Parts: sequence; C-alpha cells; structure tokens
Amino acid sequence: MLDRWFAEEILPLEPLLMGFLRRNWRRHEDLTDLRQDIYLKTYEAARAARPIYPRAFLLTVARNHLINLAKRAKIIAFDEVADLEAISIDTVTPEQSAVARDDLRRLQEGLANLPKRCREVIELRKVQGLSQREVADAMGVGLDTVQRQTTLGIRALADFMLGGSGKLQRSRVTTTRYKTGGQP
Amino acid sequence: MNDWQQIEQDAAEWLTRRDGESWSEEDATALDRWLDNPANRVSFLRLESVWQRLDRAAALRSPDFDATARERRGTLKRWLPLAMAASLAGAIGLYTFHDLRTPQAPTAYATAIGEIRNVKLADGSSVDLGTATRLRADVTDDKRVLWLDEGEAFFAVAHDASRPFVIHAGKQQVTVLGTRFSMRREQHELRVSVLEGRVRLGPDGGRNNAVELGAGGVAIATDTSTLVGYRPVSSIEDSLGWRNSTLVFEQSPLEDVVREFNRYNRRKLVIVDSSVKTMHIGGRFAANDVEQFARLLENGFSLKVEYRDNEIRIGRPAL
Repeated sequence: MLDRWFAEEILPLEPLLMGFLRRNWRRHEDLTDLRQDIYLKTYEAARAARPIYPRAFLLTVARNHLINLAKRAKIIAFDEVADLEAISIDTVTPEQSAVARDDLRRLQEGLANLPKRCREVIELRKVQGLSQREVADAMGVGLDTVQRQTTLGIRALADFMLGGSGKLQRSRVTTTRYKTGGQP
Repeated sequence: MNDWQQIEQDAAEWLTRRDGESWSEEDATALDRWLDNPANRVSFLRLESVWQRLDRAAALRSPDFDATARERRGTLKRWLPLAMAASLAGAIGLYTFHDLRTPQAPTAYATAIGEIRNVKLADGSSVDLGTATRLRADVTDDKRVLWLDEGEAFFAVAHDASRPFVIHAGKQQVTVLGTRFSMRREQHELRVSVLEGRVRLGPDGGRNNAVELGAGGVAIATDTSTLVGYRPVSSIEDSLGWRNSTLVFEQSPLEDVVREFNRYNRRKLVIVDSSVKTMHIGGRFAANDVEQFARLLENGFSLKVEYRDNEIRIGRPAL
C-alpha cells in the first residue's frame, strides 16, 4: 500500500534529502517547504508505479523540483541555484539510516531538547503509557494544555528524529482550540 | 502553493486528537476526509511515522533511559506504584503501521503493563481492566456491545434482558444477561471464568455451537475448540486477585507463576534452569512487586537469583 511504502521507504531518507537540499539551495528558510513539496510530488508520482530505487527516485524528484523552481522564479539570483543541472544523483553521499539504527538515543536527545513541560507530557504519555486525561491529572494542568504540548512535541520530535534541529515551531501558525471540539 | 507550516500544525493536531480518549467514529471519518488531500496526507504520514516510532523506543527502553525518566518523575511520585511503560501493544506490534481507516467502536479503554483500572459503563455495568488490556465499548439505549481486543477484564454486568450484553473476543463471543465473570485473551486462546450467574460462549456472530457456563464454570476456547470445566467458586475468586493487584496461587508450577508475574511487570522473570520450572508455589503476592517475589525464591527456596536491569534470572537451587 502506498502509505506504507512512503513511510518505510521514503521518510527514512529524510536526512539524505535535507542534506541534498542544503547543499543545493541557498535560502535555507525554504528548506522545510521544499521538503514537503518534494514529498508530495514523490507520493503522487508513486501512485502509478512504485519505483524500484526509492533513493534515486526521491533525489531525482528533488533535483527536478529545484530546477523547475529556479527556472520559474526569475527573481532568484542565479547563484542561488548552484550547479543544479550538473548534479548527479549518484554522487550524493548517503547520510541515511543513522536514524533507524540509533532510535533510542535519538529519542532521548529529542526529548531532552524539548522544553520541560512539553517533554514531561510526551514522556508520561508515551513512555509511562498514561492517557492524555491521566497526564493532565498527574501534572495538575488542563487537558487542553496536554493536547497543545503534545501537538508541539509531535512536530518538534518529527523534525529531530528525521534529522532536523527539533526546534519548536510556534510562529506563523494558527492553532485551533481543542476545547470546542471543532475540527483542526 | 501549500502552506506547509499550517498543514503540519493541523496534522499534529489530528494526531493529538486521535491519541486522546474522546476520539469518535465521526472524528475518524473527518480525518479520512482530510487525508484525501495528498498534501495533508504526506504531512500526516511523516508525523505519524515518528509518533509511532516513539512507541517502539519506549517499549525497548534501556535501563539508563529508565533512570533518566525516574529522575524527572520527582513531582509525580504518586504514579510510581503504577511504574509502567508504554503499552504492550507497542512492544508486540513493533512497527505495525496503524490503519488510517475508522476504528469500529466509539469508546476505547486501555491499560499499560501493571496497570488496572475500573470503568463504569453507561448502563451501570462495571468493568475492571487488567494489565496490558484493550477494550472497546459501544453502549447505547438499545445495545451493549464490547470488544476485548487484548488482555483481561472482569465484568459486573447490570441486569437488562432487553439489551443483551455481548462481548466479542477475536472469533469468539460471549453473551450475558446479568452476571459477574471474567475474560482473558492471550494469543489465540480465550478464557472465561464465571463467578456468578450464567453466560453463553460461542463463535462470533452466531448461536450455533455455543456453550453455557454457570457459577464456577471455566471455559478455554481456541478458534476451533472449547474446553469446559467447573472449579470451586473460591478458586475463581483467587484467579481474580489481580483486581486488587494481588496474584494468588495454590500450588502452581513456578513456570506458570513466572508467566503471571511477567504479565504485570516490565522487569521480567526468566527461568534459566529447567529443573525448577515444575516446582510448586502457593501464596498471595503483590502483582507489581516482582523483586519481593524474587527475594522470596532466593531466601525461602534457596534458588540462585541474579538481578539484572531488565530481568531477574532464576537458576537452580544453591546447594
């Protein structure tokens, strides 16, 4: 199934992808958006047929995407796009799968990087196995606080576990209220 | 252009809500709809893969991780008796990829290893969940349907002839009018023990080949066969000791006793010398205090006991 293929074959390549993007795109504040664009294109492209070499496939999608962007956006100074046309997929050094191998250590570091309250919530929920309600009771905070911290923690941990900095992303984003029970 | 930051935030909120207790069928449908958009879907899959990996890491946690967790738990002392880690589901499922489809039941209950919990259902019935148990309940004005997905539970069912109380467990189902009884599910085996009243146990979905059990009745059902026997009610009561965190044994082989303790504790007992497996043990023990039990074996039975971080190894008698 496509979701599974994506989660098992493509997502673990994130450190590799990010390394590729960092080397070939100067404006580093664009990187996470680029990453998601590339994931989307990869996912869509794999609908028809699953590529045999996920790594080469992902990097080809990435490369084509950068080239298209550079061609379309005339404003981008030419040197922002290093020698994109010259990039050979095969010469990219793999940095992958340190992630899979050292999961636990990575997790510990990721947790340690979180702000205290966020970390406590995630640990009680995931390590101690308490329910969200129980976490709220144990910490003496409201359920909505637990949920807000969980949401923050999920994003930061995903970033960290997949090779990023694990910094919290709070800005620019409108959060919905959990209490109303509305759709996010 | 997609606003990836916003999508990721939404995806994280969906995951958070799905992780919570109030997740309903309508929520699941709404999430499915949201996931129809591939931009949403890739963001969701990315966060979900890490969120699930967290389960696995917790299930495999190493002693030093334990230690750091314990340090930080200073303010949370009252949770220590429960000292339990992530759910057994996480440990067994390793990396099972959660189906994004709708779960069947509106209300899900779960306990971690070593945890027991009482749940009151809308019809006045009461359920005690044992260690590492997952149960779903759909109790409305016209039906009472439950699913025991994993683990063990004791049911005190409110009498109501108009709404049969039906519990599905894999390929078996148990139908009740009003009674007190327990069910325990392990791999392909379902054990039903009746303390009071009558229950009917049969293949899921039908009335054929069902057996009825009265007080003292114990049935062990696999997918293809059901064994029925009767035991003194007092012995059934003993087997329900877990409801107050007590394990009661009456001359049970050490092998069985060890298996029982291991259902309640992360620090596992391991028998390294097969000659002691059949040694008979009786008594009442605190389910969560495996160390105390090990010391008893060491001092009372002179067995060689070796304490390691994640396990306690039981060897041959020290001569």
